[in-house]
Amino acid sequence: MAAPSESVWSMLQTLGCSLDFQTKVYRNQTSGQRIWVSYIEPMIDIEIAVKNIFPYLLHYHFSTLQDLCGALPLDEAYLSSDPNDMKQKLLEGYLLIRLNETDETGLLVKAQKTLERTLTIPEVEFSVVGPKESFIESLETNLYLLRKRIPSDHLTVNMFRVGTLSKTKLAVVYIDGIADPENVQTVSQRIQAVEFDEVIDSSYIVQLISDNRHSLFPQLLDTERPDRVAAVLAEGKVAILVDGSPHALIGPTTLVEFFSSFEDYFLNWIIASFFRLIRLFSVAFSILITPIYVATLNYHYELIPKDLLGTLITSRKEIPFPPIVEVLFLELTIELLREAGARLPTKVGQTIGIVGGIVIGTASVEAGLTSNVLLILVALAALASFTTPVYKMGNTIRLMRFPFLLFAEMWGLLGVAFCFCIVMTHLLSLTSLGRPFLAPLYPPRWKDWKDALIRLPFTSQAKRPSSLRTPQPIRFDGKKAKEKRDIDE
Amino acid sequence: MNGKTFLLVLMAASLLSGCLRKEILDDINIESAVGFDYVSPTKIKGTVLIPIYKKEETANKTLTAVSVSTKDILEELQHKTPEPLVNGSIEVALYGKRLAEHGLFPFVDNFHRDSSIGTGLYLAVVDGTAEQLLKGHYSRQGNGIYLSNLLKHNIEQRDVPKTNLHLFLKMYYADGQDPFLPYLRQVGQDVQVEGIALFRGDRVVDYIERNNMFFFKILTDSYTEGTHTVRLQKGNYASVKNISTKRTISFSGPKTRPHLHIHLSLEGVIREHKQGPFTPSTQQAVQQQFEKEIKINASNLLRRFQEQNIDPIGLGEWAKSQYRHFSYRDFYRRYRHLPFRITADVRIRDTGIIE
Repeated sequence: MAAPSESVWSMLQTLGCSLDFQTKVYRNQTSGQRIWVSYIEPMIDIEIAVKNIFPYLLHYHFSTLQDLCGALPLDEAYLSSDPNDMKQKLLEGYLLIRLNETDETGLLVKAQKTLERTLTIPEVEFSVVGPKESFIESLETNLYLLRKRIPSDHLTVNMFRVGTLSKTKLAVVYIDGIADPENVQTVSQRIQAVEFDEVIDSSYIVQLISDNRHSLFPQLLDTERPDRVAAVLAEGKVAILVDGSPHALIGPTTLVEFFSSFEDYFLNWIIASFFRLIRLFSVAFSILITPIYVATLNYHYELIPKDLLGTLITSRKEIPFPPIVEVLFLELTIELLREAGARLPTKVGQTIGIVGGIVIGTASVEAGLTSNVLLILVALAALASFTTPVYKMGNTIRLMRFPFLLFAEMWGLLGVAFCFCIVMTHLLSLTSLGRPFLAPLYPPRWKDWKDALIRLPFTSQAKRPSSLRTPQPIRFDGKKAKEKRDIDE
Repeated sequence: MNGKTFLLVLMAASLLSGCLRKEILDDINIESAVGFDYVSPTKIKGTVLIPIYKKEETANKTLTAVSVSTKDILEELQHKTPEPLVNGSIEVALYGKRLAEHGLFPFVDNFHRDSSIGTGLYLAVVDGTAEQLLKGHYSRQGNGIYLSNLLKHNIEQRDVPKTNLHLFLKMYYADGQDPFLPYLRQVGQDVQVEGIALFRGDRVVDYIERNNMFFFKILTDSYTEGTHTVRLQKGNYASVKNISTKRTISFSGPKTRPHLHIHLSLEGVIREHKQGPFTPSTQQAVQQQFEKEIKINASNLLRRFQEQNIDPIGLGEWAKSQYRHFSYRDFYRRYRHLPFRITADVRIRDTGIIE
């Protein structure tokens, strides 16, 4: 990398090795002054250069760069003689203007090309009701989306750069006075300690700053919804935005937060609570149903109700495999379909889904390879695993089924219980930014249950979650919110 | 615990724990009912019912063997089946009349020692032999489920008092109660509940007839649903559907000369009334007639128990709860001559929607 003694000349030489680096010489038409302009072509917005810079460069009478700098209608123009700074700016899309080829001082003018896609609707966390904006790859736009929602002077943004090569801009956002300073401190420290060269996306950051990097469970919630980020910032959490990533990170997070869809807040609290319970049930169902099937059929025929016994036996009578082989066959088929569907273009993916789901499923039952009861269970389990609102958690749930299956095969229901104990032990020891991951379930924070497994009405949510240790626990006057205000008062 | 220790513990747990024998559902023969019959003072004949599940219906297969103990019979029968025979999901255990009269406890005992058998298992005594009854063909669901459903609905909604393995053992081991079991009989293509078999210890000593089962149930258990027909004078009758019954047992007098009082209160609705409109006075008449029937029949039953010196109601247990320093022996010495009074209170709450 750049040595401090490096001159502007040698710096330009190094850049010149790349063919998209240009240095062109122009002549001012009024003074006849020759001007050297250097830039990296793909990074430059030609329109800005042609409209705002070149007219002054070619027609304005100036003798020094200082004069030119004052004349340009652009804010971001300054004189520099630091080769490192010049290099950095050139790489970001500045023009370097010099009056002499060997000059060590030059004028840097910003003509950065900003190409970004327009705001689109959230695709991963789509909701039928509620705002339809989602984050995009530009950090500035993402910060704008947040500021727009929280017009408060307490909204604080700390900027960092991570990655020795990528120098990715990263913003830690929190509301001063609401977020626990300790959490902000933890995030900042961990980000500063990141050792990596090329940080592409916020998922890199999750893996780099997680409390337990080997855990299957994501320890920071990632979301593409600015409304969700704004809502949790108001609760006292900390958000991390990474330039180039359309997903923001939220921490400290808890397990139950991964199963709450943001749509829950747009619906009536009873409906929302019902959906949330359904989701939790489906998670348990998805993880446990096939292991229970294997365990019961292998070891615990006594547990099967007498009326179900006939159904199960007739469906399995012709199957040549033991239950575990049958289950693994179907589970892997589903995983294959999911993986194939995810890798293929949307339209082909749909076809594959239909081919796989209908043809393979029916054919394997007809060929006597799997029982139809199991086919229903596996399909339901797969369906249930997709109800998880956060994609990354859905992956975890799909993977967790396999160790459970292994233990069920070895030790029956005892094995399922054993595996459950291991998972619980892990979850209990897991932390997110140093805060317990299983809160408010354990350590029990009864007051936080108002927005955990169920969601109580907004009027009952007058206090911020106590597990966040916010310095300002009261959100609003709960008593006043509950008062009945009649029109004819 | 670091990763290595964890792995080590996991390996040790999975490799050193030995193997549990797998019983894959479709590779075992699952018994759904068993029956035991008397052969000689030392030997019994065991019959095992195995359902053969097919798509449309369930066929029944029975296997029999003669041996000295129930587990021995199971071992004998293993020789006759291609797949292991397991008894974890039996629903019903039947005992032939003769075996029951010789004492059936040795053949109940094995069930509660086997952890794979639930205590909700139904036990019943069979008129004739259990083998004969199990060999019949009663329904498309298979005989096991048929028998278990037959007992279940008669216990839950009709006049068979609640019994199962758990309750039988409780009654058997209790000092102040004698057990009873339903009494079944094969009638052509069906099985019917014929009455109640009453035990002294583990031997059947008496059978309660079908028409007395209602009174037996209200004495021993609470009764819901089910209909009882009250005969009024001149060939008139009224059917009363029962809503709820309540039994109150109390003792008065000193411990040496206890006096028993059983109060039976019953609420019901009129379901059928043969003659004329149902006026408040007929309602009064039905109530009184019903009370009278209860009093007479319940008293007859209780007298019968006293003559046989058995206590299926569990009066000894009730008495113990009311007297300090109670002695079962003294109580049962006087049991035969225990003075009692039975009162009944019948209330008809509804007479139907059309009047």
